[in-house]
Amino acid sequence: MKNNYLIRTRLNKINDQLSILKTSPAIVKNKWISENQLKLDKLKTTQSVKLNQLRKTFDETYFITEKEEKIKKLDDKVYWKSREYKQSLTRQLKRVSKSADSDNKAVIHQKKYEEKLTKLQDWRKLQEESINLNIVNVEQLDKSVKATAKTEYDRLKVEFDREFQIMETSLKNKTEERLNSYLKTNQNKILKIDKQLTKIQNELQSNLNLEKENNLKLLNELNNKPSLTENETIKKNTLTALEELQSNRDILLRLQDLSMKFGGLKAVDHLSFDVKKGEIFGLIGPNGAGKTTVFNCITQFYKASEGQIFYRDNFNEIIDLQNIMVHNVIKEGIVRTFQNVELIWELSVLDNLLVGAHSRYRSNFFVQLLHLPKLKREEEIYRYKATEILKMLNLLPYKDFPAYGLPYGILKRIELARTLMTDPKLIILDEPAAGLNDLESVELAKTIRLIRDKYQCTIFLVEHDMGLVMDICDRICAISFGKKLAIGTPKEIQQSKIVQESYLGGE
Amino acid sequence: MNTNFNKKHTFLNKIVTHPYFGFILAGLLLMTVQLLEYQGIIGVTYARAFGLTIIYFIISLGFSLLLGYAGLASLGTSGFIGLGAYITGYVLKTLELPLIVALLLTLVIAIVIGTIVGFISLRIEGMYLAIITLGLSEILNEIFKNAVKFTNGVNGLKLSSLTMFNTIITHREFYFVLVFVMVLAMILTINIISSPTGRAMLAMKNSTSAAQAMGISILKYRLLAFVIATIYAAVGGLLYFGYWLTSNPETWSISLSLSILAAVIVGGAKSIWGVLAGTFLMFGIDLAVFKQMDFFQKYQDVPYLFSGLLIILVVMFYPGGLSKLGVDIKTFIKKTFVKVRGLYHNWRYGKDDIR
Repeated sequence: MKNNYLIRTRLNKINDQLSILKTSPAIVKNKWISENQLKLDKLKTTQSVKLNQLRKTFDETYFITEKEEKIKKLDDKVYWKSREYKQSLTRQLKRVSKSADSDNKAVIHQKKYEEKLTKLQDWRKLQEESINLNIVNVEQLDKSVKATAKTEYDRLKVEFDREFQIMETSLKNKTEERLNSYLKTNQNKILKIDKQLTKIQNELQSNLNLEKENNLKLLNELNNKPSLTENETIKKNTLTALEELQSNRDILLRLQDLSMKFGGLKAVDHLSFDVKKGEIFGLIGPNGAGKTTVFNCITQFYKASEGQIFYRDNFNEIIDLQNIMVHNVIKEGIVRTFQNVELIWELSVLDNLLVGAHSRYRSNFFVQLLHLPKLKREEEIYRYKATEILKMLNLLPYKDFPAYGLPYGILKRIELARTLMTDPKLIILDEPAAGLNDLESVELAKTIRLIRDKYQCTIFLVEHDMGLVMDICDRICAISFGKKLAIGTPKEIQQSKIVQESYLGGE
Repeated sequence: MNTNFNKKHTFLNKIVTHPYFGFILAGLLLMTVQLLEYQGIIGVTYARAFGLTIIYFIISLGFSLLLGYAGLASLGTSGFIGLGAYITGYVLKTLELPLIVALLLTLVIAIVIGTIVGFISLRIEGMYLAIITLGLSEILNEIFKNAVKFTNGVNGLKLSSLTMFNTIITHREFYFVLVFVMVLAMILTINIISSPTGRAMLAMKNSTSAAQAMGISILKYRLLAFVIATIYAAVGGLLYFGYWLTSNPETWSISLSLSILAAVIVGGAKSIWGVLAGTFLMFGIDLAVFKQMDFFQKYQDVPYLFSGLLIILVVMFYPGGLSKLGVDIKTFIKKTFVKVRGLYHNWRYGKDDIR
């Protein structure tokens, strides 16, 4: 078992490398194409600036617009100047009003102000005349210049177009060459890794076969024994369950006789049910029924006191989740959210998503210490992926916001987005609609369905909002005080008498 | 069409906006201090003050990584610094081996001690962890006092001169080594902060359960944080011995640990520049400013009063530290500029009315 675990971790690593190698060319291509576009745009702007200067010299509208502009500027100047005079007049009138012969002085100031205004108007007239005169002169002079400018403009336009085309083609060829070489090296790496992969998979398969044989032998022995001890019955049950699961490919997760005791309290009491691949499975129950405890047992935050949790991992092998550490559960493709949102408040939203991808990073500490290109490439890939996910969930405007202080509905969505960073097989949602209003929970139902269809994963959720649960779940399991009441489709659960009793009280 | 025309993509702009640019610039600026001292423009005490600031800044960087990012409190820093200093002293004085050997030895011992403390931190958190590390540093201090054969006891270890590559190196030349190590430490620190490791540490500080659910091993990152912090501290001790050529057990007492904690808190635990400012306020300003004045020469304990007052003020009114103060001042200046311009406009042209 231990040996198999090591092999599986190696396989996981190699699969991650493969996924990086497969996704990176598209990202790199996009990046290079955008870089090229930037260069081309830069060239175009420099060209168009030159051309526009030339065009201004022979455009007919040029003089008219220039005239208008100049007069507008003049008007502006006059307006501000007059305002300034008025303001100073009011200030002086205020000062004067306290002195003895205030009326006389006020009249003097008023006169001065009017004089200034008339002067300003005169100045404006002079300026306008000069502008008109100047433009007439220039018009006469420029007719010859216009003709030369036009020919120059035509010549340059053709030249620039050619230059642009040459640059475009050269850049295209260069990127194509680079991409080809990149793809070649990538392909070589993929081939190498594929060889390793087949080798390890064969090893794993042979190991598994051996294990199967051993299991069968043990099972036969146990079956033939007349009386069994407690330990042996447990062993027999697990072995039969394994046998069944290996033949039944639909089942993703199976809880078998799961119990969790806190001192004398049995939070979960011999609970067992299956979760099938690709379904939305709901777990409901009154407050304190032990729903969150079940989740914590599956994700190994609690170690269950009895029972097994079987799970089909990435290589279609059945494993017992209880042999796996808490922080390695995510590597098997199980991601969870929390009842009260647990985000990293000091990081931005995008960085929060990158934390979600933490288990996917393959670069070790020294690569990170020196920021080698390997880390930069990985970072690029996951940033790209995170932005795609944020786009899907309409969170892109919040990308660079710190998580602290955002509204609750958005925080819930960010947590949902974080689970998607590792391409999970099973998403465990702990009360996703808690604290959301009706509109938001309708939207949440939509997004949960979207995620299931797009990522082809299984979703397992606890929820108190019965409308949401009945709407989206394919199957529901109802529990009370840690014991299973009923399991079935939403309709069956609604009509079940035991469930009604436990929710609404007995007769 | 890309709309990034207005941003300049020139070579110079690329250099200036690079995160390492500021660190290298700071290194060059600090080097000019020593060059000025060579010319006799400023006194020796100024250069010494800056040297001391640089040494404690390197140590505080490791401590800020531990406190600000991993969220672990430790009061054992001074013990680890002293360990680095005494190992260097022992290697240089009694064994008469080059400085490189001392560096390797300090690194190895720092890693060992860091892992031990890291394992302790898995079980104990918060104040209790601080007290345990404090006890550890006090044990180390007692060893420094009593292991006379290695440390020369209470009298302190002294070295007459430091030789590197067959040449005698005074504190003036060693200052440049300090600056080099400082720039290196700053670069490595920002690399750690902006990599998945830094994010994992912050995740661990904010919520251990979320961190575990995202595949972050608490064991690994707590150990890593402690090992990094002890390495920074021990290298700081090595540099201290190289710069001052003495090591006294009195220096490595609890007050030094508290001063470093204060420097990090005053500066702002998550900002490299803030920590630099904080260490200068805690360690450099005493030698550079207060020791030069007659009043403070008479009453030598008054500066401690100032630093205590500063800590109280920062903790009460500016929990973000000096780095947040800097940001606030920037925004304040911008706002007042806009306001003053508006007032002037109103005075000169009158209040806005319909045009």
